[in-house]
Amino acid sequence: MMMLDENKLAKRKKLRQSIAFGILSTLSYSIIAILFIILSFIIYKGIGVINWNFISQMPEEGMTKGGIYPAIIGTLYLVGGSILFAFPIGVLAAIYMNEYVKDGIFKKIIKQMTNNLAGIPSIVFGLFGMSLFVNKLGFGDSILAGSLTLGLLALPVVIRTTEEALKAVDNTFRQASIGLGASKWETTSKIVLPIAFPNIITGLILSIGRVSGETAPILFTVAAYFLPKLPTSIFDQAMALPYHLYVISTSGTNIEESRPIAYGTALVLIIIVLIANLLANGLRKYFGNKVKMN
Amino acid sequence: MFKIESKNVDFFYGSSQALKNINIAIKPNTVTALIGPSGCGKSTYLRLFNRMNDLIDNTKITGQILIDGEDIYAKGVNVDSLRKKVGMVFQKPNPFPKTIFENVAYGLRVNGISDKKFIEERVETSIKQVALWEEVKDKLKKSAFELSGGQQQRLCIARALAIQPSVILMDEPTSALDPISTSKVEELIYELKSKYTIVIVTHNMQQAGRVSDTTAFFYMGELIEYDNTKNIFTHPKIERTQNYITGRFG
Amino acid sequence: MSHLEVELQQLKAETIKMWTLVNMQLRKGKEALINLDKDLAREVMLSERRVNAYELKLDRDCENIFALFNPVAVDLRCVLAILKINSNLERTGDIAEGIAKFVTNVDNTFDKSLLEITRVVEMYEQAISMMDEVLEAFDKEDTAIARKVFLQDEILDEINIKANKIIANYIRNNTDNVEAALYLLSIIRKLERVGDQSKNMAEEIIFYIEAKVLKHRSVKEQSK
Repeated sequence: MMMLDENKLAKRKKLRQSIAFGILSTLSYSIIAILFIILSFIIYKGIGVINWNFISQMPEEGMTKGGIYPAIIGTLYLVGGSILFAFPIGVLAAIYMNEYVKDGIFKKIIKQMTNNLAGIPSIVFGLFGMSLFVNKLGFGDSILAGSLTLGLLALPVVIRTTEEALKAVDNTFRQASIGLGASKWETTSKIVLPIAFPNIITGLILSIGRVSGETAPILFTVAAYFLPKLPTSIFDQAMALPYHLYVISTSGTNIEESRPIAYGTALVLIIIVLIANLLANGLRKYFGNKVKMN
Repeated sequence: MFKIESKNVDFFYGSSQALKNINIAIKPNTVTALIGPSGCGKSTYLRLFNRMNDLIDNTKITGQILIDGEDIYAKGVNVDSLRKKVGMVFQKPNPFPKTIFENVAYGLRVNGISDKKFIEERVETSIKQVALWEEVKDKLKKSAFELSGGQQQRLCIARALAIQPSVILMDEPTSALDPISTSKVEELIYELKSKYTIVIVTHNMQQAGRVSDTTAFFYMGELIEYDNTKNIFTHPKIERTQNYITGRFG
Repeated sequence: MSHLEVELQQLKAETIKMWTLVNMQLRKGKEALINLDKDLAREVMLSERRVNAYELKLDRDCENIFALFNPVAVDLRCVLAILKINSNLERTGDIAEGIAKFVTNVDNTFDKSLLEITRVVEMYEQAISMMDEVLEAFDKEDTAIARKVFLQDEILDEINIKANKIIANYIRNNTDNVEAALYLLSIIRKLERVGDQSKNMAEEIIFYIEAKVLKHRSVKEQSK
């Protein structure tokens, strides 16, 4: 009798387990599926226009023909510029917040502010960038103004991920270093940062993803509607992939005709983000191996 | 002459009192074990000796802690030179993300020593002191994370020894190690006694018996009994101590 | 060498010191008996205090090792064996003291011929050599040496058994020297006990080194 009951119980347990497991796996697979559908849709629609000329030529005939070369370059400039601005400031701010500021009301306020900053809609950043960088500081519509605006957008992401990365560093590392007579800055720069670095890179990846896809902040600060030449200085206007995509699918001279180019542009944007992620991931792995914990 | 003296020490985290009127006198070249249930204040107490609790906000200490007769909490005390004198080893092996060599050299470098030959010699003697030299001499340039847990902990002890402290604080130094590594570290403690004064926090009663000369039993922030380890383990004077070391309560 | 090994070595060294002292007591007692040297006998009685002090110290050392090191296996057997050897030695010391007391108490001299026919001096020497051998076995951790004492003990038993008749005969013929004869019989009894003590210690040594329990076995089995 006893044996039979146990067998029954085991069977029931197994059944429950497979039901739960089934639901969970279906959900996760459907997420992958959605991503896959979107990707294949864009690849299917866009792959036709992609060739060497498409990525290396200037747009022609009201963007219904030709390539998207300046938009690619513009996006790379903007991503690079915004990271150059946001990364050091964000990391330093996070270090200051996490390593130096004592617990208290001041720290709480700054934290709340950072969180609020992350919640502001990107179009507001765009307007702010326009009034401050473009008009007030007189940068005009330029790569500089756009990069700074995008940088502001990326700043909270960088600060928060860096803070998390620093928090994840076991306190005994700090104590061990200080216990050996090291100063706080020596401890932070020689011990804490190298350990936190792989996780800080994660912040970088996230902000690259965010920055490269944004349209609203560059709308009023940098983006050129149609500019068949490369920027020559940081004070030049530039085209950018997301904005280009937006323009040719909403207000181009011939929307229907430029449809394939739109898909091609989307595909190129995705590929660029992908490459940036892979690169950053590789970087993370590289540093991660260097400081691998047991 | 005592190496470490603690006189009427009270310690507060914010408004809660973590240590109540602790009086202890530790002789040089001895091992003192701090035992007691979790949260009894023994780790907090250990960290007073190198002012590690300074790093925690909103803490307050009253009373005196003398090392070599000098009050380490007096005004104008150079905390860096105090910490050079009082080395510390932690619960989990925590080598820095550096090479084996640089881990041990770190303390020398941050103290402004740059003479290459001097550093090399000091690193070698320190690693030899922890009986790790034969195991690592061919891979000094490799990352310290490649070592096993037990080796890492001995490296951390070598790192503390490199700046030639006279007191070594150990906060449960073997709790993350396997039995063989544990007994190696214990033997090491026994050997280091001839040169250093060691204070060790341990949860392992047998370890306190094996390595220490004197034992202090803490309970709820109070020092319940402080005596020769032999006396504590054969005929403790206070019943609560007996109950604790015989495992009759927490 | 590990910390525990150091402690055990010290414990063994202390035990050997105590042992040597007890053997010395026996030796001096023998000399006192043969020469009826009452001063020497008194010296033996005085040294008993030192043996007692050793016993207390070894007891405490064993207690500390148990409490602080929680010895296991061979280390555990070593401390257990020493704990028991310690009390055997203390008893042997008592016996030596007892013999010395008889020597001081006796009024007349011991009759040389009586000493000869009872073979008491031979017995005494045998007992001392057994004690020496067990000590050697302990020092060298050699169970082969320890095993030899089981056979030697039979000689002591034989002399002890025969002593009854010999002494009885002697008393019948020498009614003026009864007291000395009775003391001698008591001494023979005590020497027999020394043999038993050394056998016990030999058993402890074998238990410690080979982990074999030899108690309550026949002599033949023991000396295997």
